Amino acid sequence: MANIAAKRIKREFKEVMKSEEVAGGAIKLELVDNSWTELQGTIAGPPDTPYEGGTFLLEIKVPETYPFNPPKIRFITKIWHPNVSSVTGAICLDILKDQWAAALTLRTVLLSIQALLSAAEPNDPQDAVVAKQYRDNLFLFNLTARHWTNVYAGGPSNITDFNDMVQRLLDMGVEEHQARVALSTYDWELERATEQLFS
Amino acid sequence: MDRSKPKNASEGIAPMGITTINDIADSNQPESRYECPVCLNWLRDPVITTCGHKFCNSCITSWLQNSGHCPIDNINLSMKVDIFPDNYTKREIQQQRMSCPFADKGCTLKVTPLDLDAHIAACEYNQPETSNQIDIKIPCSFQAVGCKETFKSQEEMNAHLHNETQSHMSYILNAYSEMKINNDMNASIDPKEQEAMILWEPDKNEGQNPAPPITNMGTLIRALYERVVVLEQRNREQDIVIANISKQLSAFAVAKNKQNQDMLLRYCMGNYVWRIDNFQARLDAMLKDHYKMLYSPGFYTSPNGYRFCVRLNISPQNPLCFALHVHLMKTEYDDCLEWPFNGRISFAMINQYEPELSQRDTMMSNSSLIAFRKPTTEICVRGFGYTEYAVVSNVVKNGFVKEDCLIVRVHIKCV
Repeated sequence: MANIAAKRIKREFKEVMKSEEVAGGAIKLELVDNSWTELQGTIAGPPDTPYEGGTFLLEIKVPETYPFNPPKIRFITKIWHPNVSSVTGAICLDILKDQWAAALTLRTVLLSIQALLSAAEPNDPQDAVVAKQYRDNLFLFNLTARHWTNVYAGGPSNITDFNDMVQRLLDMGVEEHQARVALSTYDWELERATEQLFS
Repeated sequence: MDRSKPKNASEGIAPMGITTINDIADSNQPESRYECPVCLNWLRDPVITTCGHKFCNSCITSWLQNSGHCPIDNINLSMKVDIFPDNYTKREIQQQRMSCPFADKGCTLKVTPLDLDAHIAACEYNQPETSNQIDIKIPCSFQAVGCKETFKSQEEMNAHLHNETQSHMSYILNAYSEMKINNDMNASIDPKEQEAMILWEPDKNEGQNPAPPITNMGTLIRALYERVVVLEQRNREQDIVIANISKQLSAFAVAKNKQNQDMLLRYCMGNYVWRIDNFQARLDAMLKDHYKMLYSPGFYTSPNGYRFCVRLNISPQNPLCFALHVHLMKTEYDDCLEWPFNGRISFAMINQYEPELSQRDTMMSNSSLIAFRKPTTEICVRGFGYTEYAVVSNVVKNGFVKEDCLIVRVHIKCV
């Protein structure tokens, strides 16, 4: 790893460790190995959002050319959000792309991603299906996001209706995550989801 | 439905990784006004932008190769017109001095923050403490047959392999015979063979087994041979131990002898007997070269008192005569003494055939002479005594030299 990148990541790591966000539990950062090229971030779901109470893991890959190029970050924890791919966890955030600036740090990036959870950008979506639901049926979007947070991120709201529907598909032999994706995609209409799964 | 994944993850996150941070880097953390926002290090060749941000020259240059904006506020920046050297900050940073992080190991160097990393890499105190921290020990390659030695380096092991060939042979023999016994036992042969292995405890062996079967002979010889090897090895080891101990003993004797002499000089109470051995040879040398002088060791008037030595040489004024002087010498407690020295100095050149003919002289010190002031050199350059003490030929002829040895007794008493 390039000297400047490794040095900077080490300093940033310390900065994050000392920050009040870490102390308050809002974000966390840990090493995956000792190479400093891969780290794992954690952000807490922001309050007053469907993600509240959830813990979201992020994969952070630091390129050789860091900080002249942005770190590559994606969600490991599955999340229902217009700007995050529900399949790959890829994040659509300008500062991770063309708006990256060398003065940004892992701490500010993690905080930006956390802010993205509070304020989605449905007009610049990463996941078109989620964004459509966000625009057309915000109430259902919130319920779905809360359900995903509960199931994948340890969130508190257990939505019984959704659980039941997933269970119905499970009984039909469908894999759990596949069932949840189908139901979420078709606005929790069991028939349409089933149709899609078995067509 | 309940997934344990998020729970596991949060448990894993806790404080891990914090110990892997290099502590050395800690001490070199710049203040924010001297920190480059790109490399987060001390500003190196600092430049300032038109929007008022400071960067290392190389950092902002690299950044602006792919971007036209300030890394901090996204204002359009052009390398040509918006970047200026910030020599004020450069000077401020160069005036800072930081201690080497190995100061506790003894490095006293203080360098500018910019030079610190280079110094750390080259610092002679930056030695990996392999012996203390990482205790990796290589076991002897004969470990499998019972050698318990371990080594810090391959070289050490090689030396061990070289020196301990014999004991390793015996280890192998041991292992081999054990294997053999096991094989033979497996073949359900009389376990008496095993007893043969302990033949060197004859009472046991003979009592129980007066006539070992002839099939055991091979094992017996092997066991005996092995025993011989072990004893030879032990013998060799003990020879070495004995050699070491006698070396130590003679060193002790030398040290003891020296200590005795020192004690005599210190506790002679100003009463010193100077035996000049090999007198004829020394005299010849002095006659050949009149600048050659004989000095006695320094002796004390009391255990922590004045220290004098005696000088015997051919008189520079009259080459037929000996000159005899005393010189004050420095001691560690000179400051506790009174200066100038005041006392009586007696010389006696002993006639070793007729002691009553010994030549005796007594003088009083003269406090106005430099010779009796506190010495400023190891031996005071000015002495006190006789420039024409005795005629050389008389000393040799008239019985003062016996068995090639001249004896001069000096008695110095403070008054």
